Amino acid sequence: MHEWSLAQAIVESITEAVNKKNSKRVKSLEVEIGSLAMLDKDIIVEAIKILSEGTKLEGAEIKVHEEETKFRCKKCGKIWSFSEVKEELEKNWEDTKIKDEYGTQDLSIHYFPELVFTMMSCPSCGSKDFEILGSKEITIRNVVIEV
Amino acid sequence: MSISFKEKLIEKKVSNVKKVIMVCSGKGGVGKSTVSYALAKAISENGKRVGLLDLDIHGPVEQLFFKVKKGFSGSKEGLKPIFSDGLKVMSLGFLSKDEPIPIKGKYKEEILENLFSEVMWGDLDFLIVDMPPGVSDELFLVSRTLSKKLVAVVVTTPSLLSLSVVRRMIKLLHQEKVKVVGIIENLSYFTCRCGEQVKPFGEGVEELEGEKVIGKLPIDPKLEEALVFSKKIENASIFWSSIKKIAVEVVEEIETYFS
Ligand SMILES: Nc1ncnc2c1ncn2[C@@H]1O[C@H](COP(=O)(O)OP(=O)(O)O)[C@@H](O)[C@H]1O
Ligand SMILES: [Mg+2]
Ligand SMILES: [Zn+2]
Repeated sequence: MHEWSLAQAIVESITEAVNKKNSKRVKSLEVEIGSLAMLDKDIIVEAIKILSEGTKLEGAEIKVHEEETKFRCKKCGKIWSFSEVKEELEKNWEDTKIKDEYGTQDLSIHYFPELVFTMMSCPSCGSKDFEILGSKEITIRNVVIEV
Repeated sequence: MSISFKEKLIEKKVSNVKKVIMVCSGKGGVGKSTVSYALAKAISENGKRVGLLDLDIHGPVEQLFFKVKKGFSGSKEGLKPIFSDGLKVMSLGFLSKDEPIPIKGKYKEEILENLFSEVMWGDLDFLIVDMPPGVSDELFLVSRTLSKKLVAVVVTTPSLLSLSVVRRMIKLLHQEKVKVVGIIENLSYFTCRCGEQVKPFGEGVEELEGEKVIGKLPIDPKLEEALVFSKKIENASIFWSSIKKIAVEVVEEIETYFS
């Protein structure tokens, strides 16, 4: 569970950029969260809000888009989504899970989403030559500022 | 506008790391991983706080040198590395069992970035980075994001095949303004029972592209056993005594350079 450190870096990066542009405040921003990294949306939004207090980000509207991460096999064209394979990954990679301070056991893709290439193959042909469609972790877009 | 926040995360994660030593070569199989681990171990035995990061994401091996197989833990701030043998260590080898790690293209750049943005090194005097062969994403990422505290140690063998690749690497390091602390010539010689010094890969060099060879490491037939089976590097006494001397020199060179 490293959502706090992500939120902190997000807030600081935005505030720095906004200060550079000499603008008054941030009106809104979009947070896109892909399911692969298994990030907790509520914690992220809450953390961004709390950490924004007293900065030019305070009070900004946060639009959250949660998106199911999908994959496309480059060999056979099969498309599948993370939720279809999640349970199997949890089982097969149980012994590499990482425990956090609250006792939660996270798959390593929580920290390194790209390890999905190690943990999973195309469900149809077995190839590792697949690509990730959409967001795999967290992306910040459309930061709208008031000048 | 869109915002990239990874740089910020990286900055925070290495903010209490004093110096980063990149162990590189360009060539594979010359002993980068072995030298990285041994340097880390030797420097930490001299009382420094040392971390070891395996950046060879396709062929991680640093996990093989440690008795523990687990020990990462998560927190609000990121991922705590494994602490073993007096060293903090991060290698994808601990997380991938014996499965391939075929991460390519932009995903490769992203996992490399995540390796720096996620791992909480805490206070370190030295972070030693075991580099993969080749000159690509890894080298540029490290020199771009850590430039202020970065130095390189270059590993070669005396073979012309190795030297010709390493020469290009040193030129690139110069172009990227990475300080080269020195060249370590590995697999330099062994001493025959009759007492004669044998140099199977050639005479080697004293300098290359203006950078000096700061130490020559012997071929030690006990090294493999010591590293991966008994996991006691001191058992490879010929290699260990040489690298300990080199480690002192590396630290001295770095301290003079930054003073
Ligand atoms: N000085 C040495 N004496 C004996 N064996 C060595 C020596 N240096 C490296 N080796 C062996 O050579 C192999 C390759 O070393 P490694 O550190 O994995 O190289 P690289 O990281 O450059 O690919 C390993 O099996 C290692 O034990
Ligand atoms: Mg190696
Ligand atoms: Zn397929």
